[in-house]
Amino acid sequence: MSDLDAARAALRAAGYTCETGEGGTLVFAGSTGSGCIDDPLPGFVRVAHDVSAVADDPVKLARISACMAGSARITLRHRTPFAEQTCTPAELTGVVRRLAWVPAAIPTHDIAVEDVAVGVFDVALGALSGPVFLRLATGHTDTVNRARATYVLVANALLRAGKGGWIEGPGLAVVGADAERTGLRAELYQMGQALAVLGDERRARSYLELCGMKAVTQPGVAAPTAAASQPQEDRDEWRKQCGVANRASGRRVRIR
Amino acid sequence: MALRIERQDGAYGFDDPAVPGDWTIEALTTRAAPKLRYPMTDVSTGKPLRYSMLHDGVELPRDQTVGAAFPERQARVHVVHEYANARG
Repeated sequence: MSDLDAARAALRAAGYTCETGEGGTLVFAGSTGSGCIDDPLPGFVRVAHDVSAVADDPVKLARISACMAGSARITLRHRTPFAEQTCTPAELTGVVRRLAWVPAAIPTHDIAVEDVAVGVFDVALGALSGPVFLRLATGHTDTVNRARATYVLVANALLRAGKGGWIEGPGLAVVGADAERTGLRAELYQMGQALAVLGDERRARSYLELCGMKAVTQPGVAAPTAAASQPQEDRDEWRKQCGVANRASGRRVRIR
Repeated sequence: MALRIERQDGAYGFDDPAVPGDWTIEALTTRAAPKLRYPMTDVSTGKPLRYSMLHDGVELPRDQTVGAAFPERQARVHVVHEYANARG
């Protein structure tokens, strides 16, 4: 029995409806909401639970991501926020229920915060003694903050050495002192370079348009037009992917 | 290690706030030269071009580490062509 088959059996036993989605993923829907599951590694499944009802502000979502327990994080896929975590098929049902209850109120963080300098060639990374949030940049204008937070949420689907978040600035939350340093340095460096590029107001606005997110309109500044309307093709594509989940749950997926 | 790395003619330079202290001067110079828009190979012969790093006009030993070369943790350095590049 494959990992996805085990996941399907576990979710059906818990009362969820499951169907095979695009790319061999598993799409589910139930009392807690809808989402999808894939198997990135043998013996593990990655579950992404739709949390679009929690918030639509990427900065707020990134703040929540930094405070989530363990490796759970908020990601942004097709402009929809998901709470995501990797686990074994045996743990799946409990993880799905925990991810569904992402708090709308931003919890206070009890993790140490350390500012990391990102250089042209490398990052200055000190010794890690426990869970720590490695902050790569400080707060900026609203548009730059939204662009950086959006980038962190999108990158969260690929980060392995830690998880992206926001504590008075974007960064990477490392959950343990035994984080593999070579991979961590590489991810910090890549994130730092990207966040530095997004520190420019014009580039941040272009990035938000590219992601289909609304930029903050400053008084006296014309709002960008590309991000204001959502292409009908994207909405139809997303509905086709989650068609069964939406019909089963009766929920409408909200896309901005 | 925070370094200001510039071309000899001052036409271009950049600040790097996080230069690893365990890098050698050779490794730093090799990485910095392309960033300063220096060519890395001789167009006529195809041979690699070499560069040196100067601090206060004094050439730094290539095998010395960055941490040992700059005990004050910040400095301004220049990357210049090696005399060997002038040979045919």
